[in-house]
Amino acid sequence: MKMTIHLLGRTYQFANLKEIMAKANEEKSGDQLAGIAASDNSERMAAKAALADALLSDIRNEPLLPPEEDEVSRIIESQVNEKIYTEIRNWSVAELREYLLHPKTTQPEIIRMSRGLTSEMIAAVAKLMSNLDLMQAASKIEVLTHCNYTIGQRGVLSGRAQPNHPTDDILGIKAALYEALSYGIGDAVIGINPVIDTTDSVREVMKMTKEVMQKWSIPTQNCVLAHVTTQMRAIKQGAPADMIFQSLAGTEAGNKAFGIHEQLLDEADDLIHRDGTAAGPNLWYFETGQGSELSAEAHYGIDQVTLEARCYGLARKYKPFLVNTVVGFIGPEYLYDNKQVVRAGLEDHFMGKMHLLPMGVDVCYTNHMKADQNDMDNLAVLLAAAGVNYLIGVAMADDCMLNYQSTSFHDIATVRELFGKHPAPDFERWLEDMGLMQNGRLTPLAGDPTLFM
Amino acid sequence: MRPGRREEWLTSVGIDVGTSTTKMIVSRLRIARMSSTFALPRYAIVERLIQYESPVITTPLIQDQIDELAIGEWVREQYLVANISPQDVMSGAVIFTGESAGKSNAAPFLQQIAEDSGAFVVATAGSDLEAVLAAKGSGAEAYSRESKDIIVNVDIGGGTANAAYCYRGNVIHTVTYHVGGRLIRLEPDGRVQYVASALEPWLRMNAFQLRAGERCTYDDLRAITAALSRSLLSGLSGAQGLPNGGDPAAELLRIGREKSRHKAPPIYTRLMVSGGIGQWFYAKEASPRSLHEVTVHGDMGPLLASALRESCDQMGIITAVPSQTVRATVLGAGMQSTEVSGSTVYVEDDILPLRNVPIIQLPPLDRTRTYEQWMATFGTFFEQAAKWYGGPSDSIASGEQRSQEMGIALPALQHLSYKAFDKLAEQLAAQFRTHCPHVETLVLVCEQDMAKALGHRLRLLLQGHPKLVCIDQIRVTHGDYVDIGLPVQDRAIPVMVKTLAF
Amino acid sequence: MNDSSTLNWLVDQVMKALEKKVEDRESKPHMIAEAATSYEMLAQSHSGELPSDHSIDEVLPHNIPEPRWAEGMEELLASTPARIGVWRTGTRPLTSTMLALRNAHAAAIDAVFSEVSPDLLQEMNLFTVETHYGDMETFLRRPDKGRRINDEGVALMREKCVHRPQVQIVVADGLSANAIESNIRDVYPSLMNALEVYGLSCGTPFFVRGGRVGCMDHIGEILHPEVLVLLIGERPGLVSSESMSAYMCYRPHAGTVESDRTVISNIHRGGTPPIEAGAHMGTVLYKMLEQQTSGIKLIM
Repeated sequence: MKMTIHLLGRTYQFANLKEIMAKANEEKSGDQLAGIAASDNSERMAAKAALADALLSDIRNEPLLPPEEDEVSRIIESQVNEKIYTEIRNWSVAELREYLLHPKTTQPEIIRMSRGLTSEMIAAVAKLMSNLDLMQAASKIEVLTHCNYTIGQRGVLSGRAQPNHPTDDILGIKAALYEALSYGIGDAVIGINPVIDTTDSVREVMKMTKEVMQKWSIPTQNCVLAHVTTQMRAIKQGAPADMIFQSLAGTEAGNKAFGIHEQLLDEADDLIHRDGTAAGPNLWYFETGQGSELSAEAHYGIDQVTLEARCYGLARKYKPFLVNTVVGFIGPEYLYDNKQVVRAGLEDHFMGKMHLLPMGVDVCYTNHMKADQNDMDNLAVLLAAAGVNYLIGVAMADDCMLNYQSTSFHDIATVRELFGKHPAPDFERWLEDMGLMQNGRLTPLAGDPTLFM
Repeated sequence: MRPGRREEWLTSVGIDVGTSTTKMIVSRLRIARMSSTFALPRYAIVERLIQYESPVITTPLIQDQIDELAIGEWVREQYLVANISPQDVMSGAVIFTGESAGKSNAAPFLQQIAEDSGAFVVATAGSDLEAVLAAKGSGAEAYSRESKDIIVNVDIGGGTANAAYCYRGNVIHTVTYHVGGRLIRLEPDGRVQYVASALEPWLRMNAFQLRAGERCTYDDLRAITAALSRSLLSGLSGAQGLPNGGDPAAELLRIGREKSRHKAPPIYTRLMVSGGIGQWFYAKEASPRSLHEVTVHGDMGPLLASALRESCDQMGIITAVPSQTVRATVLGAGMQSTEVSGSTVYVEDDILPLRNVPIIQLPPLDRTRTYEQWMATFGTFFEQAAKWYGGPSDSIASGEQRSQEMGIALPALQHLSYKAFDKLAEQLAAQFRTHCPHVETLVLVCEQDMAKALGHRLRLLLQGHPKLVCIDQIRVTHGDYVDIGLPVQDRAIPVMVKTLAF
Repeated sequence: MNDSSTLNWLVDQVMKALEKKVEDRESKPHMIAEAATSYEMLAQSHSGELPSDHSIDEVLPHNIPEPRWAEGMEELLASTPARIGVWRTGTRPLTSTMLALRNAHAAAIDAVFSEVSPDLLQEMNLFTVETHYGDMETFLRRPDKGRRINDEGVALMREKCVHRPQVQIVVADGLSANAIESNIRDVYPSLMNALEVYGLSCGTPFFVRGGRVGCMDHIGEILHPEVLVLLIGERPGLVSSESMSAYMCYRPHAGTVESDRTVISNIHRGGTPPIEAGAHMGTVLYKMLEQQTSGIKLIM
């Protein structure tokens, strides 16, 4: 691996792969906050040049966080198919990029190759890709998953109904859920972020969502996004959960800050397989987002794109039904403005898909970022073009519990129309039966939540 | 605050002494935190389990009077069978339903049973409350939560029919009639043993001749029960949609008609019948065909039930099936009579528990007056309140407490700035000091979440006299009585609100 | 004493209350559900003195031309502050709905970039220290800068403040000056009442400009309070840009972990009620002193 790069009349000397990976990133305030970003554009280009020539074996042979020290590294290592890896170990990252974008490289080739790649290799190639590269490569990969119903088909854009409420009021959650359903949103999941962390409250929300699903025969799945241990207690008490949720970080220390570790996830995995209410085989919902490791001071000087890829390496082990990056939630110290949010959204979607994960994106921002709803419109369209599995649906994009803005029921319906995309097939049939959709378009009845009262 | 109990389960009992039957349940209520760790703590009853259900026994009477000793003995037996002792019981209610509450010996006796049953058991009577409890116990309230329409639950026992109209999970109207199975008691041979005096004006208006000691025929009784059913249904529906309009005689049966004018009830679309009559109402067996079959319990109950069923059919009234019939009221009393106060409260040491605190309500703050004008009414209010609390004990529910405890309900006030809040506290303190220096304990029940702050401010203003209890997020009305139990889990304070007893 | 006029008055009161109850129930059954806070009400600036609105909180009207069940729609609207019942033109929201959302976003952004007025600080008798935040861009990009008081501020604290107080109160703008402007007049005196009732003594309160939560630790190192409560503006949301949090910690010091802090959040007139929040903080601080701990180890 070349550590010295001559570029534009200057010489750049890099100490190690970690430094090259960090400096090759597009500009992110989080890398700057961590003090690992390129100091200027030229240095960034020098790092990209160094990375372009690096071999995949260079990346594997110089672990940024050794497996002996970190369980996420161990999980990623253990998933590598050695035969496939051997076939590509001498490829440069530049060659990997060109291979992925080559017209002859299609779904089957990428699926096979994915098994020979580590998360760090996938992060490396993302750093060499333009936004359009990320979209084109990702769009080649169709990831189907099945919990109660199947989502992820080409031509399908699903939506998570996210009917959060500031005090978890059951009626209030129902109200926003009915609104979501009336716009054709909720085929990915009916997923509530609870504000109350008690088993009793989580169980009540699980029960309510299941009752609504049963009353109206809605072909979807439910999830309450409490901490995994709270969900486990609720499930053990008999609460109906189709899948189990957890936020992930890309290092063992980061996960410790989330109160989780591999063994706990294994236990939860076992529980949801035994006591969950869904058919499966995909019974997990994971959320990630660039910057969470730095915010937990568990980043080891590794850049946030690479750490994000490592989250996907961990997620892959549990064959999730849904994974989404909550791209602009964590704040301007990690993603400063619209440009950084758009870039991160496309990177995360690509890297997730390269891990064969059912990637959705929570296209979102907080009010202290330099971004607004127009930027979310743009990113949602870009992601739809890239084949994102689902987006988050919040009433008018304004989440009254989490205090951030995402995409609205209207936005998902609009993006579907713009791209000729459909809800998941079973869900679309149900919408037709309810009189809410016809020929893939909302009918005049749509938008009236009292249909479900 | 003195540390209260840490257990999260409350044992609650319900005892229902009716005109014809008596029953009891023991339930366990679980109180749990229902707030985020970043919010003010809030507790709620999250689970209600039945631990024990007694058999339904015939209410023991001695010459038309309830046999107190027999009931007391029976309750003690049931406690043994249920394996609980009065010390375990943290909440609940003893109810005298229907006619039994009208019996002269009811009040002190009821109080006695309540006291024997556990320190926190509420003695209560009052047809509004019974109607509400029965609607909760019968499942009507829950049923209405899933429906767009109003459902009326009418709990018919031996003496009264308590109706509660439920809409979207709330009782929105109650009304009670003198309609019950034991208003007419008779021998298998048709000899009338007893006709309740409450029924007499109605009988006269309908030209029915029926006197104790005389005989009546099956057909007479059929005619009476059919007419009684029609009167009841007419009253319940406000005469809407009934053939030939309403039944003017229905008003003669309405309890409380001397005190308040009749108000048209809401229009309901479904009828649910609970209570002893409810049990027969839904029974599959054919209607009784002879006096012998009617008088299995020595009264007209079975015939009233079948007459009511027939009347419903004739009038096209749609019925719904309750989850409980004869036990509806006792279930409501045992499981649904307790609320939990907001958890940021102010309670001075060693005051709780408090029983039978009479509540007077500050006038509401409405659009007709400014905040200052509203506070200016406090003077008159406290002046009058002082007279009431200073008065002889006969104006208060149970004789023993005279003016030691004063309960004031604060109406909802919307958002208050601290300045406005402070003026409120100062005004309350000043008027209290002027008019009520003899009151030893002041209980403030706020509708909105402000009890702790108000308690602190009043404590600083009043300097330790009177003793203070400030609770919130409980809705009480003028004339209610409240019991306030020991805190569960240190902060969740069980509160039982009773509407006007006796 | 118990003359007939008193009795009549009482009966009259009871009857009025009962009748009102019944009327309320009958005329508007849908209002039984707790009325939610409307956006408009929240968007109004806090008017200070008296309750600005004594009526039942109004709920935003819906735009659905012919809802299947109109009463049901009211019930849904009353149950949540979420923007529902908004209707659409094609798949897009109506203009008024779009503008309402943009209005709320504008208010939120302005809250981030606003400053706490010197008049308020004077009224509350708070002197000001600053962190190393520099300017707004640095403040947003570098949270670490907002966790350290600058040298001048440290000197000022040393000079003006009671050292080793039992309770130290600190106010900071954080991410919303609006939050401080809207809530401090209500929370602060209520907290002071609570401290007096519990018999706790309070040090010299002051204001931190450009403060983050972590500035508690630095202040702890300098003044060594037994407990510290930081009242700080939260990241503004669209429902409210006025939301404030209280972070409380027993003996804060460099290296205090987040789980050692006890937090009450969402303090504003549509969320956690400010006056009651102030009173509850007194209880929390009292228990911290009693148990000599804070955060997840604190038994409430």
